[in-house]
Amino acid sequence: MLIKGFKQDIYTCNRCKCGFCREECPSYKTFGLESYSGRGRMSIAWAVLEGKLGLTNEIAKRIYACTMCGYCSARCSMDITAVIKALREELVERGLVPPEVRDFLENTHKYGNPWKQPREKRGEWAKSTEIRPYESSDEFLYYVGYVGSYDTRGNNVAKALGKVLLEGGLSFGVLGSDEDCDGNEVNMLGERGLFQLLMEKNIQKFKKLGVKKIVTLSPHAYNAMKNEYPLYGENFEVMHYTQLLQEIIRNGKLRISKGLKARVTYHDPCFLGRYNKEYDAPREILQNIPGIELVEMGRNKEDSFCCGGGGGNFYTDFFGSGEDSPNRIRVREAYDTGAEILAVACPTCMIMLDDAVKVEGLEEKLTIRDISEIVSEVV
Amino acid sequence: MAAGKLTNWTSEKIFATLKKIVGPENVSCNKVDLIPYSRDWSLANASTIYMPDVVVRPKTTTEIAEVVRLANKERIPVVPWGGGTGLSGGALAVKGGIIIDMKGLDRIIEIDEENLTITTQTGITVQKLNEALKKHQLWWPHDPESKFASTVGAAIACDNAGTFGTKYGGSLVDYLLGIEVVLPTGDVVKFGSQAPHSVSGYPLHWLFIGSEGTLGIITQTTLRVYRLPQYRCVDIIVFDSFKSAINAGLRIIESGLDPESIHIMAKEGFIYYTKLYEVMFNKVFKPPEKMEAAMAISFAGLKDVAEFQRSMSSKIFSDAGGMVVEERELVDIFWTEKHTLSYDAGKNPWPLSQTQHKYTGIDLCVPIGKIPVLYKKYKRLLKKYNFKPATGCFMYSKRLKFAPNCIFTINVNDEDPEEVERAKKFIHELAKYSIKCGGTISSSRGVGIAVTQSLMPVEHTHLALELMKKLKHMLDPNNIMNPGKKLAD
Repeated sequence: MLIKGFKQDIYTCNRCKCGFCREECPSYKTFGLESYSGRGRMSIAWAVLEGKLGLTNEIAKRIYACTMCGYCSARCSMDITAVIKALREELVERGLVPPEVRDFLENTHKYGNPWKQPREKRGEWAKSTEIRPYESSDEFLYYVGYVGSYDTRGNNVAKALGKVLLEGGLSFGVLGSDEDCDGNEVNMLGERGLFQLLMEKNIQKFKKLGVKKIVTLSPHAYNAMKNEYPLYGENFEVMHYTQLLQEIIRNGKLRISKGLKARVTYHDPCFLGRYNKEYDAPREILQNIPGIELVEMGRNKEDSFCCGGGGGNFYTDFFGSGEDSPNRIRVREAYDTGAEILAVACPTCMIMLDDAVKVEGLEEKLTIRDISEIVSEVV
Repeated sequence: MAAGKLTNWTSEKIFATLKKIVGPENVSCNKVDLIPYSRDWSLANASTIYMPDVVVRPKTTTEIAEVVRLANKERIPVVPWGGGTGLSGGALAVKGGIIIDMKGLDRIIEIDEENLTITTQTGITVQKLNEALKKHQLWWPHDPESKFASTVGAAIACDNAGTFGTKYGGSLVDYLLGIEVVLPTGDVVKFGSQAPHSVSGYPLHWLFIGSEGTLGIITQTTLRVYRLPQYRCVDIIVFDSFKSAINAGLRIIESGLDPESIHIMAKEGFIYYTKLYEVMFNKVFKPPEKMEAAMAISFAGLKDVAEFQRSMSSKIFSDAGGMVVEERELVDIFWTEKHTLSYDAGKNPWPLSQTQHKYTGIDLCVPIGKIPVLYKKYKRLLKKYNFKPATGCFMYSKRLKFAPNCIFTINVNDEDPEEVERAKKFIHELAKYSIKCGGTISSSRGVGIAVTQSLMPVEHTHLALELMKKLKHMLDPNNIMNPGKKLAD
């Protein structure tokens, strides 16, 4: 059993029970019972190892109602998220995943995205722009991901970043219909086999095209390509777009020519922040824009509260849109800062928080903007 | 939530009624949902669990009253569950029944800045309460290390320890102005008021302090709060003996100085912080050869006043043979770990981590002059029972100046039943000695189902215990409220 590899962590949690991982867990905030918290899931893992519980669909419901945001691991000496992932891998092996997860995985395998959108339409968003297909002479491969490629709101973000990169004079291109899923969510959902398949395909494709540097729109893709791909192949130089923008603003390639008078708060995406410790680049970009007053939410950086979309939940939607759903909690927190703009650096966070603003009836008071959109208006 | 297996306590009809009371999404008797409520931090074999039959998560006092009324009618045990961090098993369903997860009652009702009180539901964590108070430049100086997970209700029900007792009291008696309680019959009663002091009735709100969920469920409370201090300074002073550390602390208080916290720890506990200092700063702190105890002391308030007190205290420490720790990073590490938790200790390979052993211990309180002999007894018993100290012994000065809340700790291999039994004997013997010294078997963690429960008739007279039992029976005639705890059945 895979979780046996985590026996020491699981048993340590079982003898300690401090529960410090619980209160800020987005899943626990929504569902309320301990079984939906990091500590609760460690108890379940312990009971499975002890033979007190068998793996069932009921366990799968608790284990998959987790965004893999990493808060619990940040609050603990044990890597709770890794245990949850191992439990998911067990559930996948036994065919015990919830139908929503099964559909996500099957669709991603077949179409390269969970929404069954045709592969040939993946590059359509770029048609009306000056963004062109990747060529081996390009410095950067601009990896867009399926949210940026298919979602209408995601399209706008993808275009905005393309415009900014062009403005910065960078040579880059996109893969369009040749782009495949990066696999981060597949990995987080515990389908290691499919993840390896996607990863190997991508690595081969990138190598064939002579890719050396990759800039990603999504922190999810950034996480997979930066931390997982090197274990299986070439070491591409992978950057999240905020890191690249920070660099070209610093070296003067990208000039901010206008200001934006607004009170702005920034939401750290889990896969950029907690997973990759990049807290400064997005903030530095915003602070470089004249007129922006950057205010922090109470929970920020390592303590940031997840939007609820991670680990495939933007598709599986186990959290629903109730008052205690993570995206609504986060939007209320942002609104309480007095900010007019909630800035994000992730297309998944964008769609999750955009939905929440509407449900909360705050559209007139709080706008969700990706940093790439904000920058595209001031260069 | 799915129903799961129904048991004697929870027939289809009872389960359906519970769903109606709290909503179907807030009740479960599925084993997957019950397992996380089957253990806490208390000493037990690694495989021991106490499974409840059902867990409910109400959001209002009315819902709790209805659940309790049903339980009382059907004679089902009811166990209130807060943060689940207990060290005495107080929230475990040792006789099965209904766990009431109190954390759904997390609403703050009023922060009264003018009168310095907060009225709140009791399922909120201590940390969240203080985060809300901070927005008003206020705080509740009750500061248990479990604050990130433990609830206000549990703080009252266990009367647990915090750091700032030297100045603010440290017992819930010093904070609690009023409470709302669901009695075991399902009746809802309010005790106390917002008045800072009252002698008009029996102070029954205090009866529920340390009641460990055996007399009723505390659903709402009004607490005394304070303005946040503008400035704080902390020092650590090392001493060659516990006795000299305690005497220095007493002299500080007698001098008219007003420390907000005094925390004395044995060398073993201090090593925890010096190791972290090594890991984080790559520097080594060399304690004096003869060191037995270290004292952390803080002064807070206006900067000039706090710093003045600090300078005055340093002379007293020097006269008492103490040596002030000059390494400020080490002092900062101690304070951060103790009060805000950086988690770094756990993330590094750690000599005191729970990856190999279970941390356990006993929270005793003896007259202050008896601490040195109790400490010697602890050392002797470590040898006798062959245990290594976890964080050794440490104490907070609690309850208006210098009532020591003494924790004696050991590391136990909880996967070895023989060692767990040996640990229980160790705790039992040390607790018995505490009573012999004129002390008590628990000063902050409660009795719960701890091995010390059998010492209740040693600490308390027969008539006193009988009166406690009569009181319990009067309030809880069917013995449904957290049965088997504190006073054994």
